[in-house]
Amino acid sequence: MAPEREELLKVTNLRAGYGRVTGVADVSVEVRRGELVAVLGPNGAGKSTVLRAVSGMIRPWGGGVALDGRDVTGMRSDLLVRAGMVHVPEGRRVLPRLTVEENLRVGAFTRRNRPAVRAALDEVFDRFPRLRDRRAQKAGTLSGGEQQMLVIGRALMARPKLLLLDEPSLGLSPLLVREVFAMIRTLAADGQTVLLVEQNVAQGLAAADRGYVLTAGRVTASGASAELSADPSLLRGYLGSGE
Amino acid sequence: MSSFTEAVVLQVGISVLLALGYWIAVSTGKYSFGHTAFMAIGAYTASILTLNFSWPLPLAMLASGAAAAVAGALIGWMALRLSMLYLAIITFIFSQLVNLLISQWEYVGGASGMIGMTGTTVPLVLGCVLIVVAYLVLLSRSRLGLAYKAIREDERAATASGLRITRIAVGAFATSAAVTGVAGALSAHQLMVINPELFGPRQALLIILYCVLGGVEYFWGAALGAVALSLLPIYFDWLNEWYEIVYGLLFVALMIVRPQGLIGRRGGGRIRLPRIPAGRERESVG
Repeated sequence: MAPEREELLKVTNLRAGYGRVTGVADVSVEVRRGELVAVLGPNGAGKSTVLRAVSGMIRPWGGGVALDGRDVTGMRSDLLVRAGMVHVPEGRRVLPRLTVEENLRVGAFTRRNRPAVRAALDEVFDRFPRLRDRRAQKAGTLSGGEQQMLVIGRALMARPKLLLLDEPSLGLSPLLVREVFAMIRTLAADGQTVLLVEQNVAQGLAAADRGYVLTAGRVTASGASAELSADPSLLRGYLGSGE
Repeated sequence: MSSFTEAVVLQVGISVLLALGYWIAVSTGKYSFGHTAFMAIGAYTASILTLNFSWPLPLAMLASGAAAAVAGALIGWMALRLSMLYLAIITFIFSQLVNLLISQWEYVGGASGMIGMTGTTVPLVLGCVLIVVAYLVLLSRSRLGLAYKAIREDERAATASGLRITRIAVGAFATSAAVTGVAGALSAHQLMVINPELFGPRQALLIILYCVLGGVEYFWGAALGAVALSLLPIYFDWLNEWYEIVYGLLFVALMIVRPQGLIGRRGGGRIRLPRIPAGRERESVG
């Protein structure tokens, strides 16, 4: 077996957007195996666009995406899921009229090995016991925090090498935001590599090992979370570029 | 069995097949407004084969299903990536186009149609219903059935989980068209006469109503809707020309009292307008 590469995801000079609107002008991001990396920035900075272009939800206009040393730029999203990259879109998109268990099983759609799916289901239930209690309940009846657990659990069903989380705190109460971040932290502590997009800078930096700050589609600062937190110019830049 | 009972069973059975076929497309959240096109394709394909080429009916039915499936896949490929409104328009226009073509085509009798098809029997119809029901039972327990439901619920979430949503939806649409085509073939060989008028908007609406009346959540809801709606005009024929008005009122009342249909939980089986298509949604680009 080839030795494991240290960097799991390497995004170089990515350009992407919608229609004629450029969302991302030039972004390079690296995620090493086992890291929790946050992409931070104000609303409209292009954070979600980066994630969508990386995960094949939209086609990048330029630049490159490599997963585990393999060029996956512009690859179809189902192939990327099979390759080990799973995207949790923003807005807690549970499948409301399906049960909790059905939601999780949809997450394992790309896997055909039944015992392995069974095992993954048990693992997710062990991680989120509240989901086990509600396994036969319709996902639409869960609370916001439980729905966030469910969509993350659904992504874990594919056993991703890299988990992409888009604004997991969006629309949650401060208490739940803390709970969700604690959950993400635990995931990372268990060895799950995570790339997180977050508008809440304080929470994002507190959770992540490293961070990138995005302003108007470009990386304007990057470094270890502790360094970034200590940098007052970051906050100024953030506020100055806000909408 | 008296010939009257037999005629009733045949008609109900064919309606159930139409409803089940339609339900397969609906289970992925896709509503077609021109399923009569597939019915017509099936009816004419089978009639040409049995009348002009002396094929046995069961074989002709298979060909009908295949022809309708190909048409369904083509239409699906064009329309299923678009929003519900475009799908409705494209399927409706397609059915009008098919109708126009057969009414202009001398080989199949143009507007006066074809005559002399026979061979639809009770065992043949019930056998088809049984096969489709067995398929749907298996489907509802399978990975594919789960994928259909996931697409119905949220296409973007389904994409994120690695489902090739267009391919899956086109497959469902083609299967749906195939069942509808077979039903068309059976219908032609029961009626003995077919003409373009039989496959107009009225029939298209009827197929939709089967599903909506019974409820779209479970396939047997759609089947029950078909049974109810095809029995009513037979046993309430004394209403004469009033029956359409009475039905219309009944429907309005039902949609107010039970919007989810006869079968299905409240808030469960309602027709839900899909979100604005993925990718074109109002974005917070951040």
